Amino acid sequence: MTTEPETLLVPTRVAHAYWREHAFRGHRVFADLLGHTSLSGMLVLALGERRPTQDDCAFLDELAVISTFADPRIWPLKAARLVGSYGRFVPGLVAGYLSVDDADVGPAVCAPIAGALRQIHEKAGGGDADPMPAIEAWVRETLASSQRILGFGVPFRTPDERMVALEERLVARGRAGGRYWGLLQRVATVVRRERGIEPNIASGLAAALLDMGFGPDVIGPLAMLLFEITFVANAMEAAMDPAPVMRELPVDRVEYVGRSARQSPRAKMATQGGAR
Amino acid sequence: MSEGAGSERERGRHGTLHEVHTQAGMLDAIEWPRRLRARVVEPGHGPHEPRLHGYAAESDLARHYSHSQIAYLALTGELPADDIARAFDVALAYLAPVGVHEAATHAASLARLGQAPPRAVLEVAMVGLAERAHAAIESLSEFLAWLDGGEGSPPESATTTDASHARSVDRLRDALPPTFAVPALAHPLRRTAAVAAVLHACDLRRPEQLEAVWTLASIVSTFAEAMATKPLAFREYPMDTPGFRYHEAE
Repeated sequence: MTTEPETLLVPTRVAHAYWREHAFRGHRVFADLLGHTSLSGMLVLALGERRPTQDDCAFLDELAVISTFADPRIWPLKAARLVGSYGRFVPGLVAGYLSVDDADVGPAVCAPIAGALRQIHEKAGGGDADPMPAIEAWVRETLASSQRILGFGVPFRTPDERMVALEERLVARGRAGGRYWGLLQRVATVVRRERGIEPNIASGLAAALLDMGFGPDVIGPLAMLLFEITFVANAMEAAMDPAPVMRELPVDRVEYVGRSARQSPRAKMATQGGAR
Repeated sequence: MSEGAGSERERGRHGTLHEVHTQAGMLDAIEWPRRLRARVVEPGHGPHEPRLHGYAAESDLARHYSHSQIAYLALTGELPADDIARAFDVALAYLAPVGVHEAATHAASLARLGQAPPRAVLEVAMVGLAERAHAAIESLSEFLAWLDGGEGSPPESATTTDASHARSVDRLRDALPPTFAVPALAHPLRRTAAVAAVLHACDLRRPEQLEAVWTLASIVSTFAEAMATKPLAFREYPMDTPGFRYHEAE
């Protein structure tokens, strides 16, 4: 076998194909993982994290259930249905996901929220130090630079019913004492006082996942995966039962507010008999 | 759950009876607009043809303007003057070829290698090219800010002493209309920075405009290269180019 130069070799910790067995994230697929790891456990491994405990996996499954807010009218889910309406599941799923990638709403905000919570914790000196001065400073700075506080604000209702469910599951699993969940409650008191808004599920997920030991870089994609059910269901139904009205609405459902009708310079020249 | 007000029973896809809720929820508590708002494309209906930024697509644009001029109109809201239209075409030509050595075309070719249908090859190509465009424009952000200010020398990240870039920029300068001034081309720019400078002079300055141009310019050639891949010829594909070196996770 010819040896390739180092510049043409990419290091990977993901996988390698062997004979009759395959390596995946430092484990043997058939010998170590098969029969011992759930789908959520495999997803955590895929994200480059240590193999989660069974309790962690069960909790992640619950987070996925809590995140199942799948009404097809919700904007990114409707995007999945619109593209899926041409009859294909995967493009619908991908379109839905892409519509929230790096967006300011939905699961994409979990990573920056996690980063902010970690930053507040570090600025507070870590450990058991009183975080209130750091929280007050962070809220003040955030409001000065932007009117929005990511992870806060619950459209249409208060509180976010998913936060209620999350808190119940945290308590039931003995996880409600987590450092970042506690920190989020204290941030919420300040934001509530300053803006009168409540935390939404994105900040709840960020705090819960930080308390599980995940970093913001992993929390971003993991939160996207926890919302997968909502995209899958909508892309699937759209592809299986394509609705013609999803492919094309009646034109009277469009209100045009752009430039009014006009003639191009070349068309004017042609009408006036000019050469062109 | 008992059958009652606000619900009805119907037979589902698999023949089982299930509850269908008609009870109003949080999204029903708001009076939403009934119409989509359009700002660029006025859809055609009945005797009215579709319009783009006010211009009739069929009786005007199709008769008098090229595709690239219509793309310029879509992105800026105005038709380009003749010298801008020519400079825009030159920039599009510079951006058109994205070889199989680049990730977007390579990925689309792999889709075709697996005998993915053309629409899927196109989708892979489009996603890859949009990501490529974003990365390119992001890497030029310092240079684009300099173009807006226009003072001093361009940032080092946009310049090079590489002769191949210099030759490419010379050809770019020669292809532009003599009346079309791009002062930034007086500097030893990298090829991508030079193309961005031309687009900037064409009044395409916002990152989203540049990303759209970068992507649209290359989609057809990338798709064509990918579709030229022989489906299922796995033994002809260089599996280890590049190769991967596996390390067990610690």
